[in-house]
Amino acid sequence: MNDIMIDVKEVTKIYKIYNRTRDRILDAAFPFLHIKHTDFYALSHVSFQVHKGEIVGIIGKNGSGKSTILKIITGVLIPSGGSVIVNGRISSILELGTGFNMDYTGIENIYLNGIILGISREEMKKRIPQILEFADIGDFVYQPVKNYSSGMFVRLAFAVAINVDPDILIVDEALAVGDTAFQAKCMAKMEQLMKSGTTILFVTHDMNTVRTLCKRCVYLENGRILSEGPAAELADLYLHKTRVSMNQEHLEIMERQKEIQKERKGKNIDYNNEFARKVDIFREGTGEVRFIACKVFNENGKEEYYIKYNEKVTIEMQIEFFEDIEVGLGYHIRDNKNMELLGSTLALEKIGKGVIKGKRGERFRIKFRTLLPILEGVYNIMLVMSVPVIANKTVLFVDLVNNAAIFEVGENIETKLWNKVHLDNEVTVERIN
Amino acid sequence: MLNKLIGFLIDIWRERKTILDLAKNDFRAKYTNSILGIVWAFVVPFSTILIMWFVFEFGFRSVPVDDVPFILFYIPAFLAWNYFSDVFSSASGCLWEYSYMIKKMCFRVSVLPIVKLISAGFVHMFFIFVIFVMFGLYGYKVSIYNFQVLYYFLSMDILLMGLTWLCSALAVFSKDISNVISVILQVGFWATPIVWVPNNLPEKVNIILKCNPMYYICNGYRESFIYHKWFWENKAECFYFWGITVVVFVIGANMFRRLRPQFADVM
Repeated sequence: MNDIMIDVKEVTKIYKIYNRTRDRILDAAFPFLHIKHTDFYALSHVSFQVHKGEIVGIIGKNGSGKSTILKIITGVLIPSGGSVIVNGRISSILELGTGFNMDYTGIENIYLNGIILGISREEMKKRIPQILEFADIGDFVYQPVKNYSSGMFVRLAFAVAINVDPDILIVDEALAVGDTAFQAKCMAKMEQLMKSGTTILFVTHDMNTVRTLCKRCVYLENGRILSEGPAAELADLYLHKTRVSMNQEHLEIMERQKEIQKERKGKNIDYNNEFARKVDIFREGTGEVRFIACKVFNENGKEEYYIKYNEKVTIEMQIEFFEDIEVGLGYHIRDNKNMELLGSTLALEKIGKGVIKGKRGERFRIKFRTLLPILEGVYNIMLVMSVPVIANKTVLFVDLVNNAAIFEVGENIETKLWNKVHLDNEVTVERIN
Repeated sequence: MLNKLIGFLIDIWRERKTILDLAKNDFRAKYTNSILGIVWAFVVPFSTILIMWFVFEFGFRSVPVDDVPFILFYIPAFLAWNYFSDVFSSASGCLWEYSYMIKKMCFRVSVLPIVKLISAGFVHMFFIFVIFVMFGLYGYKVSIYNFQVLYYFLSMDILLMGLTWLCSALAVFSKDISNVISVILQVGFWATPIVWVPNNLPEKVNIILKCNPMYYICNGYRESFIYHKWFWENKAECFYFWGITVVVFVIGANMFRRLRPQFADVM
């Protein structure tokens, strides 16, 4: 296929660590001397391809090699092994900002970037109004960039990067320092660029962005590709792993790790239960309390897969306690991209103290009755039980089940719904002249 | 190895437009942050010329050398050396100066020392013009020999290219290099016939001093303007200079090429 824009083949990056500084020079200049050093593998045997017009997300923890692979694709770093073939002009924002000279003014830096990308001063001059309009940093462009805030810096960097007609745009986490409005603007711009055929490679820790923007993802862990596939799935995997490690950390803090870790996986799960078998791969948590069922009923009280638009449904779940404990409980309704659209918790609905207190062996049935004024489509329910560690900030997941139930909402027959969710409005129309 | 060297040079040739643009940018940037701007590029060498002239003309009461006023004897060699030392020190540190680009953007890093060379070359071209003016003021007519100065200028550039590739690449790994260079430049100024006359020295000493390739260049600048000698007349010195220059050039280009993959790792 000839629409492959980036072809990464078996790329390995080794950082050599030397005992003395001069060893590095000697080794680089005279490799045949075999100077002693230790190897640090930042990437090992990473291969993937990116096609024209794709937005591919690269996700992974800190230190997993995301930035390294982007730098190698950009050509800033040179791989120790393997090859990267890139077809077309790359424009990139690596880490904080692009190649900006701190002492130059914004305008001078724009020209400098143009030179490196092979765009003449005259040509660049024509693009300056567009760049300034997008960056929207006012007269600061005439100031040295060292006086910029990090937000202004990234605004200018992004504005330059998208206005040099790149075939491939590479964006590292940089955008996170921009404010929400600017981020939204960048997202919109990237979608627009993608539609006009630009290939985009994107690193972020924000899984919502990944779900909305990317179709495909590459998940790196410890310098290797852990998985590659649809963005929504990998985003879930990433969040799952994050929660696991978050739980892990909390457990360590609470010194409960030992007793629980022994039988972590599958603790208190009854595999005779059909529900437990069905959601096994989607569940995690410490397991003092488990969900043992989840059902969706329509307004007539019948268990149903097809739900009408704006129907009052009942989401029923059952839990079983294996220890004496208090847990908070809630659910999310997620769309086909696994964006959490609706949901509630006991605390939100002010039910008791927002928690259920149970004793070992006790079972409870909880019902949430709610309207579903949402766009037609397939939705899934995610159930969560947790114990707060720090109020409103971080929690220990007791049981978390993705895809606990799935249902489909039909089209609103009266009028077409153009947004995902609709809430009732009070509308007044009055003549004012 | 030869193939790689040729490839390295061809790649640089392809970037000639970028090099020129970067050089203009470098030249502009160097002086935009100071109030007097571009004036500084000329004030510093001029002040040095004046001081030297004053010291030698009035302090030491130097007599005209070979019937040429001392200032005229001194200026061509001094300006050649001034250019050399300017480029040698600035280009050797240029990778650090441009580290923000090396770390963030993809381009041919080997052009940077050349960018410095050209950026300093703009000023030097002006000074070559100044030499012509000075000789004109003292009543010397312009002769065809004078234009050999361009040959010496370009020869010096080739030497500088090799030197600065070598030193700039090494400077990435070790900050010691810049100190070594300033020592070399200090010693070099007095080891090169700039303020003294080579003919006055014993033959043995002169031969040792001629090992310095800048001897050939400074002498060449002087011969173009004062002695009106063709550059091919000193065959031995010419061969020696080009021998050294080619060796330095090949070593410099190869070292740069080998060390290049590690620049971004180290910076």
